[in-house]
Amino acid sequence: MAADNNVYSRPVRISSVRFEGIKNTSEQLLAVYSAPLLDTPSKMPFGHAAMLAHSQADTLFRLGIFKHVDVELDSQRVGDVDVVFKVAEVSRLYAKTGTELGNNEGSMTAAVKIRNAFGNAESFEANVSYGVETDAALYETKPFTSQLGSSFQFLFSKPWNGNPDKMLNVNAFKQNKSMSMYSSYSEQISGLAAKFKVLDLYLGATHELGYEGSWRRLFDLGSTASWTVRKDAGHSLKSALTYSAILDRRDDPILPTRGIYLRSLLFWILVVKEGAGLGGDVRHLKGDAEGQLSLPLGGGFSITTSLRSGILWTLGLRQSRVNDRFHLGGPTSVRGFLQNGIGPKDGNDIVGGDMFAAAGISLFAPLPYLADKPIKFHFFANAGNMIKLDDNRDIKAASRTLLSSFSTAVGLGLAVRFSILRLEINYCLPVSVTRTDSVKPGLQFGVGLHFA
Amino acid sequence: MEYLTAAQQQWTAFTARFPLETKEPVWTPENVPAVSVLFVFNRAANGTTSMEVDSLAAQALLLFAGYPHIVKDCHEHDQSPSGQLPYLLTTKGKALAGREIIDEVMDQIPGFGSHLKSTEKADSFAISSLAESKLHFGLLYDLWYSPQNSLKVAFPQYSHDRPWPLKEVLPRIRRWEQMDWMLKHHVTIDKEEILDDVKVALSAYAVQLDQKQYLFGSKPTLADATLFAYLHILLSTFNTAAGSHSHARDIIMRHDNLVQYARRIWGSWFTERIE
Repeated sequence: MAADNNVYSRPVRISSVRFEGIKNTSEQLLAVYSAPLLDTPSKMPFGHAAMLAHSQADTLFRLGIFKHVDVELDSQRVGDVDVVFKVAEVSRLYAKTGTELGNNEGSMTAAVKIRNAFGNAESFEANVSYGVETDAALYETKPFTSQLGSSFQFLFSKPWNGNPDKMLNVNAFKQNKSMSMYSSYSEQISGLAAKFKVLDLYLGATHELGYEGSWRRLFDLGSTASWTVRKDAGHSLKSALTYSAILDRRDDPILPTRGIYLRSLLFWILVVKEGAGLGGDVRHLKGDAEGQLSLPLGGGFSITTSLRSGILWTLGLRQSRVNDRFHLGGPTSVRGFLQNGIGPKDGNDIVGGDMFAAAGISLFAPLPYLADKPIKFHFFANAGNMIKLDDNRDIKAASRTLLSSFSTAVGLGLAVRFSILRLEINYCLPVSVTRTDSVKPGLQFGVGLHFA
Repeated sequence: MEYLTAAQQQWTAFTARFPLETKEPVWTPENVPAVSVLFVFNRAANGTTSMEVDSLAAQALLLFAGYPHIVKDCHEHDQSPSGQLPYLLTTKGKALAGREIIDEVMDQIPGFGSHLKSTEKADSFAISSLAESKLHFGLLYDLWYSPQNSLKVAFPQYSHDRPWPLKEVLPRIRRWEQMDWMLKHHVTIDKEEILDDVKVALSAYAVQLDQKQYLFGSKPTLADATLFAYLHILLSTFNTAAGSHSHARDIIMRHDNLVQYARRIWGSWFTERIE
């Protein structure tokens, strides 16, 4: 032990940094990782040098352009250490196809990616997906209606100064989606977005600042669309700055038993004069926030509480558009209600809301003889409310209206954690509803990555 | 089994109590309009007539029939159930477009067009078809096919109220759609052939009109609404933008009775902006 301690405390100097196995990666990127090692003090403990080298190796691996990054510290002369990074680069071209099936939906995806395109860990990716969503679970034998959707995206991403924790993403996208199951329209969105994402590993936080410009078209209304939807049909241009922050300190993002999760998202639609600046005919501020707290209760029991709220505030005398508003309800949102089933409705059309609030509490309990398995009993109570502001510009009065009554449901069931998603099977009892809510009493399945 | 049935019945009775409370919604949608609303493609500033032929024909039809309505401007064709303006929002909350507007007028105003004899009704239908097949091509050719006219006349109509860059893109998409329609209905776009059809149609209209007040006597009909829309659009659209020229307009000007007819209808029926 004493000898080991002497080895790690022996003063050394990092005299050289070498990379083996490099074929496509640029010298410029490698210099980002070698320079901090070469800039270290002339004499420092060997253990410190080893820790620095391994830290650089971890960061290098997180660039996603190497299959593995091994680090060796070699000493040819007393007091000098040579750091050798032994890497194997991933293949540049990557292609993937797949199908995804959920309870009420299925989609096919295909993606092609060029990794480390210019040697600085940039990537170009093109992906396309085509999906079908039904209003009845695919296991049920009754007839169902369906809506189609497709999307295409071209994405360029690059680590800022070779740092994988600071990513610049630019993407162009086109998406077609049918909202015929919830509302009487289809939407086509084409746009460009540029985002700068910063990952704070120490805090477990992510910040993303970006710009998004999108051309939207609401169409395919038919004769039965409500007036609330019909008046928003046509073309609109959104030009927005966005900011999102996520702090995730949960032990497991899919089925957490302890930890905290905080998320906020803000859209600021740029206000410009017609014909000048960055364009756009949509004027609003939109923000929403979510918090989750999971606490272990011992014996495999845990409790998770969640709180969410959001507001869409139009600027000037405009009313919000149906394709900008919030939606609430569903097996991963407010259980006991159909997808988007809570909130304002005009006829058969779900029109969305400008303010919402939702809360939930879930108790997870271990199953007998399966305490160490990722399957839990699940007891829940959740509530939500959503309102449309229209001409009501009194935020206090609107808040009082929002908080005055909630649509609520309770239930119990099972929650199962799979490697990439969570499945919930719950028996739901709606307790308090609004006449226009789309309620889902009885068995409800939920599949997803994130549950409220 | 009896226990199971009893338990099931008790469970059903228990769950039937839910939800325990059903509340009225906080937000209620707008009421249906007290009077029908005709949404037409934009009228000129302070003007009374729409700048698109289908919208203007619907305006004329509702005025001729005495159908109670107000008119609102709209520049989004996607608002219409058919994807093309105009559309009529009735007092029952239904949105009607295309042929449905004509059927609605005929249902609500059964006396409209009742003065026509059966042969005149058939002629009226044939004359309306003449406009839609031959005059329509002439209008599209003058308005969209000519790059000069499309840039100076059509594009400003379709870029109005649009932010950049939509004001540049959408008129060009509209032009592409109109050209596509023309090519689907004619294998080639032959200027002489199109203008010959316009001449034939206008000659037939001039003969039918003669010196009468309207095509079929002293009362206007659906055929008058259609013809007036084409005449008015062609006569008024191309006389303001410098550098624009309409061949169809030149042909109309050779028929004095048609020019007077269009002016008379405009002066009699479109003196006030209805909204």
